[in-house]
Amino acid sequence: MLSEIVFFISAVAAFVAAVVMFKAREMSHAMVGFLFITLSAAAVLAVLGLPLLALLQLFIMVGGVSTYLFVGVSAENLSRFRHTSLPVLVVGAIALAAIPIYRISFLQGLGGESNSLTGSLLTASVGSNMALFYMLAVLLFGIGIGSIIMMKSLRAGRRR
Amino acid sequence: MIFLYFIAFGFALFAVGISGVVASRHFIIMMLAVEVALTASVVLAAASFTYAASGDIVGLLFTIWAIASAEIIGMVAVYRYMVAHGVSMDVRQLSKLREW
Repeated sequence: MLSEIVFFISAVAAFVAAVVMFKAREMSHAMVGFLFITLSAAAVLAVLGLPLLALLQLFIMVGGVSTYLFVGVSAENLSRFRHTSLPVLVVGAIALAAIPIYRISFLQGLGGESNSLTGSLLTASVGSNMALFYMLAVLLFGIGIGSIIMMKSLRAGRRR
Repeated sequence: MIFLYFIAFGFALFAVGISGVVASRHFIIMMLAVEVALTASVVLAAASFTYAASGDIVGLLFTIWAIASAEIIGMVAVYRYMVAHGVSMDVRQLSKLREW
């Protein structure tokens, strides 16, 4: 039952993020929408019983590609980022990131995992110690994006 | 029955990505929509391998992720080039690239 609820929350979050991505006026907001789509896809993979693939999705798409997009494309207008919506984004990101952390933290051994949704196994899983690395990756990503936004804010304040 | 949830989610996300490519004229948004379609293909591949096939899926997904990452790198390079030359992000204006 919990898996179904998490799956539907992740699916709705993905489609809401897609609407935000297409409708956003600022490129930074479009990038945040894209980040949430990839985060939701990682959560869906975790619900599917594939925590290793969820981890790789997070490392590559959220940690690598989204950070590169933030720096390469949207860094020019990050100083105009509307900070009023930031707490909502932080809460949503923590909630979505907590799903793979929860799935990985309670894994035992290296075998695949079955749940009420899948009922099947696949030989792609990780040990419980990977949860630490995953949490560190999420932390580093948050620190990286936060420091970019803070530096942009400081520079914008200095210009005024 | 429950298998259909993942397949429906993957196809719906893929449709969102393709409709973004078709409907948008902004260069960056179009490329992000392609990324969304690739993300949907990851979900579809994982769901299909879980239920209908056996073997190692990681190689296939690494291929998809490599294509997505390479596309992003190319996109950022073209974007910086367009910004440096003052070209509009409207894809209908891309024919002006010939004048450089």
